[in-house]
Amino acid sequence: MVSQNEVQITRYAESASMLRQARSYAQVRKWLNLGKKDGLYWGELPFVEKMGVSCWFSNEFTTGFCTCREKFPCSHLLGLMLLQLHQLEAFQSCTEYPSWLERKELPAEKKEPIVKNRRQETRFLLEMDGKRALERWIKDLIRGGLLQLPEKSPAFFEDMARRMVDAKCPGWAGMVRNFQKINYFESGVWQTSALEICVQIWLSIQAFEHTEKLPDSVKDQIYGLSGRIVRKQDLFDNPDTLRISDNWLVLGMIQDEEEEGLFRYRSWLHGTKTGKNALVLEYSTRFNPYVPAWKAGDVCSGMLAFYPSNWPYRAVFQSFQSCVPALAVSAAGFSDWKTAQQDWATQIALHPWLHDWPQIMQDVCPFGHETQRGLCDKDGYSWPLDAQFPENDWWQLMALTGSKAHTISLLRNNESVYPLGVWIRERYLPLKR
Amino acid sequence: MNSWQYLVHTALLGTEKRTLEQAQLRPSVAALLKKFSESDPESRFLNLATLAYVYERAGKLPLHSTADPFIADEDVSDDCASSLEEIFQTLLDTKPPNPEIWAYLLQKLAKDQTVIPIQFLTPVFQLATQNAFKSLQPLIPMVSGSRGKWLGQQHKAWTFASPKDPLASWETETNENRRKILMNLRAKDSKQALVLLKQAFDSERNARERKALIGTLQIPLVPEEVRFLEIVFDQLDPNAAAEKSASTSLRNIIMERLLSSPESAVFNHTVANLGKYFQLKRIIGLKGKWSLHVPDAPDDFLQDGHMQKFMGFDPTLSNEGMLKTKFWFSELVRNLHPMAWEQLLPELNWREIFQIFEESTWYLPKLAYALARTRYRKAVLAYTQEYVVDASNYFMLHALSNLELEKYVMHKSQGILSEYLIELLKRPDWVWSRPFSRFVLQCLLAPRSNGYHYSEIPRMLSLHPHFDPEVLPELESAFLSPSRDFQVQLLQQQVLAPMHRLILLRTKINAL
Repeated sequence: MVSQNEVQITRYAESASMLRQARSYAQVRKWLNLGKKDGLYWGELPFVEKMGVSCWFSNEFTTGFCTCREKFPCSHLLGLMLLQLHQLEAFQSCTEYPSWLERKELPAEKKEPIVKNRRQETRFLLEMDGKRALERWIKDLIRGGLLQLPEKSPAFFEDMARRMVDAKCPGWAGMVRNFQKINYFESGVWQTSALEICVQIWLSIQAFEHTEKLPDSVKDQIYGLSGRIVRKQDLFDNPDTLRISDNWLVLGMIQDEEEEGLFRYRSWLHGTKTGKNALVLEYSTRFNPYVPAWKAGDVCSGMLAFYPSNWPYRAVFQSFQSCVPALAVSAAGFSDWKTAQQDWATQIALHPWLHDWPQIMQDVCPFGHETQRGLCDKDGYSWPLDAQFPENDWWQLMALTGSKAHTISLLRNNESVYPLGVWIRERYLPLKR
Repeated sequence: MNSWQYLVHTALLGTEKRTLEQAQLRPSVAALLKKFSESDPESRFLNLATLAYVYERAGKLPLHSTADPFIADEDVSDDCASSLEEIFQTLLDTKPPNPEIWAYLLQKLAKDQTVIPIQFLTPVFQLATQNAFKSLQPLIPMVSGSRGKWLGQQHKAWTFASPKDPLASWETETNENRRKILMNLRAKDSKQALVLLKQAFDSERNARERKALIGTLQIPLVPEEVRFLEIVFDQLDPNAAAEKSASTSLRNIIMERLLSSPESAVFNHTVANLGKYFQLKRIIGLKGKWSLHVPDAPDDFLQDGHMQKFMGFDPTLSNEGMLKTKFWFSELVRNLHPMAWEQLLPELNWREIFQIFEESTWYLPKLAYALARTRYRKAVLAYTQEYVVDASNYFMLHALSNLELEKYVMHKSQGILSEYLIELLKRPDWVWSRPFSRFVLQCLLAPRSNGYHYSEIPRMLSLHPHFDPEVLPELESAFLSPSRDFQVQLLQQQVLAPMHRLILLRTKINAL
């Protein structure tokens, strides 16, 4: 008679052939070092793959791990579970965990299942594996020194990025790829940029390590950074999603090619009633083009659903009513750079990885010539313009303002600003439509 | 060195080679260092760098600016009709952009004394820097407004938007540019232009350059200019050795100008001497008939030596058998203002005068008279007469009125429009009549000998400002009857559809 547990294990198998394979592994002679301690069971299969594999599972069959690269749960793990069901006596009680299990940092205290379902558990284990690989990689970098970076081949970064993608962490893969975007010929700048990327990765993986201690909203934020994708439909179906209805002024839109053939559309929105900022992010490929429903300078009435985060910023339209050019729209902005800096610091505290935070500045005037351009407030303080700020947009800014003080919307980043548009007598005119 | 910079230096060398020293860090940051275990130097470094990074970002303060912004002269109004904005946006979105429709819009704005909305200044200026759109540059100062002019001063490629005062650079410009400045100034203020011309002429020693300067005095001349030319002509020594040929041609051009001016003494002297060559033959009971009699033998006026000096020809040239009385007479007919003949023969109209020349036994006077009349923008002689108006007399075609030109082209063209005629048809502000629009389109749409229309497409689109908008629907129905022929589809997509769009835009621009 087949026990209830065996039914549960066989359901884990994705196919009949996998179950057949698992049953073939459920023989004591094929295993070495079968052991158990505090509800964990483990064993080593020496004659599979090149180096052999090691598996463990908890007695509830809810958590487990195998060092093979097969899809989780693999036939080895299922074989070990079946063996435990049928020949429990083959597992010797041990006083210590084997060294390979300790290296995987899966202490016996974790009695509770780490995640709620099998799919999430699989993903979490892969992510943890990726996290450890990335941690090791970044520490190696710091140990050897960043001076080695300019000499590294693209493959050095790409291999690690692919490893992160395999580990279901595309967010971290993107962070790793940022090393390739640095201009290593820009002496005096690339060093700081490289260390910034290092600390962003480090902060992200450390936060991931301690997610269980964090509130749910922060947890979502951290998972989002590692690359967990929340589908739009899940977002709309989730009753806890933050939803804000407003007349959203499209401050600016930027389209760029993130990777070869993958285009990114970023739209920064500002709620005219709530003052809330939002980023709507869309991707397109040559075969799946994206046609934005709005242009910079439009006012879109509708409800935005924000992605779960401690710092809700990225959003998507759940309901979209109308979109018209902004003929008369007022916006409250910061009166000087010092006040704006306080806002920036507040946002940094909530999201230390922050880039490109939209701000509206009152009474700032563009100044400068080719090499040194910036925005100056009424007190004479200024931020330089972003190095990526297009020349054409600069001249558009000059045409609109005449180098006089105006209310200007901009993207704030670490050390510079990127103007998006200008208010001229209650009318918002974007620099680029 | 602040803490962050110290951490960057440490990271460059690596924790293996360089350990963190508390003394190098700010006390507040150094205090944090104690919290991290020394057993793992990389984690310790990264933890500290992470904190310093956030601290650094959140606490960064703006710099005090010392730059002096260059502020626009005056405030501008952004109150412009939404239809105007819509037109600009549509034109900017049209790919590929069409230079003619842009010129049409800017001309309309200039006529209405409207300026380009400030949000479109930059794209329009950028467009005008492209080769295909450089023709827009002269129009831009008229429609760019104060903000546009200010912007033009900021950008080295946009100086066309705020052209400098030409007189400011008069002293430093090249000769060629100075002549252009003179001609432009003369169109606005002939007196000031003459002052500059006198200065330049007096200071110029090179006869060729002097001739070029005199060349800027295009007919008609004002009395002050006539007096100036008379003085110059008197001062020129016909026997001067230096640069003789250039000097002679200078005399020649001055004489041409003087003969063209009824106020000049030369003109009156000539008219007084020409009367003897016209004879009235009286017939009893009928109106007398005038005829031209130029003697073959030289007389006291049409004499080689005198005419050479008078017309500014080189007197040292051998004239044996070359310069005849009839030649001199033709030269006078060609250069004299047609008013001379009206003074001489006051009871005749110009057609009767032409009749006299036409009946003369030699060819030259009638052509010379026809040329002279067109030169002075008098009514053109019968355009159907091939010898009067043809391609070699291109400027004669220019003298035709729009209606006359339409008739001439329809008469002359056998279903094919020559290149020179197409250029003539691009007169500004000229909308062809419907029959003529239909005629031009039919000429352009007619299949070429090789069966392809491609070469005509850009030309057709460039002519769109002149078509009568009402002609397109007719043509569509005529040319595009239900057919799957590839060329008809091509015409629909590449000619008629864009043409429709352009004409629609033109209608919108007219309605502004």
